[in-house]
Amino acid sequence: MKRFVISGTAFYVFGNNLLKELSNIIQGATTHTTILDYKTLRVILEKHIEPLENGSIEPVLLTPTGDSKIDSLSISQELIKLKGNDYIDLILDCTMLERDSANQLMQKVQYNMDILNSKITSFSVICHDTEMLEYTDILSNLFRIAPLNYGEEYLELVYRHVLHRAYYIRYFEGSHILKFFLRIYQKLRRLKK
Amino acid sequence: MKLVQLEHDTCLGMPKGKQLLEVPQDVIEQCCKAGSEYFLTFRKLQKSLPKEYFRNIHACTRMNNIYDGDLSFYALETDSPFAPLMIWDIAHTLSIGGVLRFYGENISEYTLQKPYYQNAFHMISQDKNVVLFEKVAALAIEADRGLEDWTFGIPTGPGDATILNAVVKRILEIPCRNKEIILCGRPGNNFKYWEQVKIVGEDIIAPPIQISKKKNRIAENASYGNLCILHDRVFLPSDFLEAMKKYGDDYSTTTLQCVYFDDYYNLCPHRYSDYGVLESEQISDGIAGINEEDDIEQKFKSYIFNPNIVNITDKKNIFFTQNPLRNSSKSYATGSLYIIKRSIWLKCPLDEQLNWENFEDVEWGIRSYSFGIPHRINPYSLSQSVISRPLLLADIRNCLPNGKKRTLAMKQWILPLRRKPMFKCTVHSAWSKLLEFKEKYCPNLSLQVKILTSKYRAKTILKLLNCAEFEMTKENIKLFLYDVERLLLLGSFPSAFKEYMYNRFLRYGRDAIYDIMIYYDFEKQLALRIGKNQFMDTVSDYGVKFCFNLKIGTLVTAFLFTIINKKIYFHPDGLWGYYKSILKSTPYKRYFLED
Repeated sequence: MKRFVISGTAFYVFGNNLLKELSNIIQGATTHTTILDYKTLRVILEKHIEPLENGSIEPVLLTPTGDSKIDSLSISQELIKLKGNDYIDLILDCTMLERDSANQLMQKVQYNMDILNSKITSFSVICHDTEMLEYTDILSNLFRIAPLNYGEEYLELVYRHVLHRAYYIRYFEGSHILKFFLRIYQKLRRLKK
Repeated sequence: MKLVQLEHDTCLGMPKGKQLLEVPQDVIEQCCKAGSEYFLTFRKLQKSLPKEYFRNIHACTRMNNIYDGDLSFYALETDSPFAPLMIWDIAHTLSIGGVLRFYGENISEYTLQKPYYQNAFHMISQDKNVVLFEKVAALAIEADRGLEDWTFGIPTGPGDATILNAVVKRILEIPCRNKEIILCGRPGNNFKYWEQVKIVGEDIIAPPIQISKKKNRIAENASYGNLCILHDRVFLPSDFLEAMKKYGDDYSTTTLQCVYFDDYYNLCPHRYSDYGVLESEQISDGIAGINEEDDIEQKFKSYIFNPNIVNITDKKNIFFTQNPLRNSSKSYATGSLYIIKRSIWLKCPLDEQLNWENFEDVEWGIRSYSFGIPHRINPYSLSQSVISRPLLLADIRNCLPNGKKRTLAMKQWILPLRRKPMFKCTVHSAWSKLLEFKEKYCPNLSLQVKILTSKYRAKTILKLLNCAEFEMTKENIKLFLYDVERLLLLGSFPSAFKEYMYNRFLRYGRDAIYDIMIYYDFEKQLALRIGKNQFMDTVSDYGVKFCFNLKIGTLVTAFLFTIINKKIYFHPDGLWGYYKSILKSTPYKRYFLED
C-alpha cells in the first residue's frame, strides 16, 4: 500500500487545478508514506484521490494546518514519529507563500536536514510562481554528497585567481593612490590591445 | 561659583561652544543661589562672565579629583557623548552628601539613574528645568581605592607555555606593593612559575573554551581590588603601574592600546584587538537572555547569527576598531585585556553562556555600558601582542576621531624585512594537519610532502578542498567547516562567515566549497607572506632581540605614530611617549629563553 506525505492547506484553497497536479505526482510517486492535513485530506479523498487510487491510500499523519506548516520543525518531528517507514516523499507546497515566507520555509527545512535527510529520498515542490521553481534545485542539493572534483586545469585557474587576489590585497587594497595607477595601467593595456 | 567652559577636542568635529545656544542667565543665577561651587557646560557662556576653560575633552580625559562639592551642569548629557565618562569621574570624586544639578537636559535617562549608581545617588527633585541627584552612599569601587595592590589573571589551558612564561615573567617584574597572579586552567608542563601563581578553575573543561566562565572565576578569586585580566599572548608594558598612576584611580573598565609588530625592528605595526565599536546592528541591546530561552545557542543565534540576518551582517562591516578618543554605547574593550576594579566585575560579570568567539566581549561591553560602566582606553602606555591571528592582521577598519569610518591598509608589510612567523605552528605540524584532513576527506589523493612555502601551501589547500568528499548532513557540514579552519587555514572563521558557509552548503551543496577557495582571509594569508615561510621553528621566534636597529625602528614608528596621533593611536606625550611605550612593551627574546 502506498503512503504519501503531503502538507499544506493551499490545496484546499486552489482546488481542482492543484489537485490535478497533486494527483499526477502521487500517481508517479514510488514512495510509501503520506502526511495529509485534515482539510486537504478530505478534499483529496472526496474529489480526486479516492476514485483514482480506489482506496489504496492510507493516510498516516495529519500535520498542523495553516501557518504552522511553515515551521518545518513540526514536519520533521512528525517524520521522526514515522520511524520504521524507510522512505518518505516530501511534498512542499509553496503556492500560498509569499517569497519571503518561502525563504523562511526553506531555511527551516535546511535547519532540520539531519532529521529529514535520513528519511527523505525524493521530494516535490508545488508552486504557481515560476520563480519559486528554483527551490526544486535548492532542495535537490540538500541530499547530495559533496565532492567538487574540478579538473586539474580548472583548479590551476582557481589557484591563479587566488594568487592574483593575494597580490592585489598585498599591494593595492586600501591604497587609493596605488589603485588609481593600477586603473590607468589597465586602461593603457587595453588600449594597446 | 566658578563657571567652567568645557570644550571638546577639535579633532572630534563636535560643534564648538560658540555654535551652541547660550546658557540662559537665569539658570546661572539659580545655580548661584542654590550654592553650587562649579557650573560646567559645553554651551556658550556670556563673554562678560569670568570663567575658566577645560579644553580638549575626549574619551581619554579624566576629571577625577578636580571638582568636588555641589556641581551644576547645563545640557551636559545632551551635548556630549563623553558625559557618562565625565559623570563617572565626578561621581566618584564627590563626597557623600554632595549634590549634582542637571539643567536643560533633553534625554530620556540620566547616567546617574543607571543600575551602577542607583544605591549611591538618589534623585531628590525633578522639575522641567532641573534634576537634582544627591550622593547618599559610596559607590561600589570606592572600597577598592588605591593602585598599589594588583591581581593579574590569565585564562589559560594546556599546551606549550613558552609565551605564557614570558607574559608571567613580565608581570612579575611590575613593581606593585602586593601582587598575585591567578591562572584559570592548568598550563602546559613547561610552565616555569608554579610557585608564583595561584591556579583556579581546573574543573572548567574545554572545548568549547569557556572564556567568560574562566574570567569570572579569576575575579571571584581575586584578593586585591585592582584586577587586570589578560590573555596569555598580551605582553604588558614594564611601566604598567606608572601608566595606571598617571591615568588615575577610580577607573571604569579600561584597556591599553595594543600593537602587534610583524617584524623584529618594530617597523611594521598593526593595531591589534584592543578597543572596538559595533556599528549598525545591535546584538542584544545589552540585555543578555532577551529571548528567555534555555538553549543559549538558539538564543545567541537570534541576536546576530540568525540565518535570516547573517547574510546582511556578514556583508556589512559592523565591527570597527574604535578610536581611543571616542566613546559610545556600543564601544567595548576587547577580551584581550581588561583593567578593572574587582567590585565592578563582580557587579556586572561576563555572560557565562557565551564562549570563545561568541562575541562575549561585545555583549559585555554593551551590557556594562547600559549598567553604567563605560569602557575606555588608558593612553599612557601600550601593550603588545606576542602572537597574531592572520584574521586580525592586515587592513583595519578604523574609526577616525570625527566618527568617519575608514579602512586602513598597513602597507608596511611590503617592506623587505624579516618577519615573525604568521602561524604559531611548525612546518611539521602544519603538514600533519594537512595530511589529517586528506585522510579524513580525500584518502585517495596523492600529495607530495615537501617544503611548505606559502604558494605551495595554497595550492595544496585548494587541491584538498577540491577533492574533499563527505555526506551532506547538518553535522557533517559543521564538522567539515571546523576541520577546514583548524586543519587547513590554521585559524578560525569569523562566526558570521561560518554560519554563512553553512547555509551555502545547504543551499548549493558541493559548489559551496568554491566559496572557501576564494575566501578572503585565505587570500590574505597568502598576501601577507607571498613566497615566504609562514611557520615558526620554535616559539622563541616571536621574541625580539634588543639591538641598535630596534631602537632606530622604534623611533621611526614612534615618529609615524606622532604624525597620525589621535587618528589611529593616541599618546598624550607624543613622540617620546610612543618611543618609550613601544620599547617598554616589546617582548624581548630573553623572556622566551630558558633561564
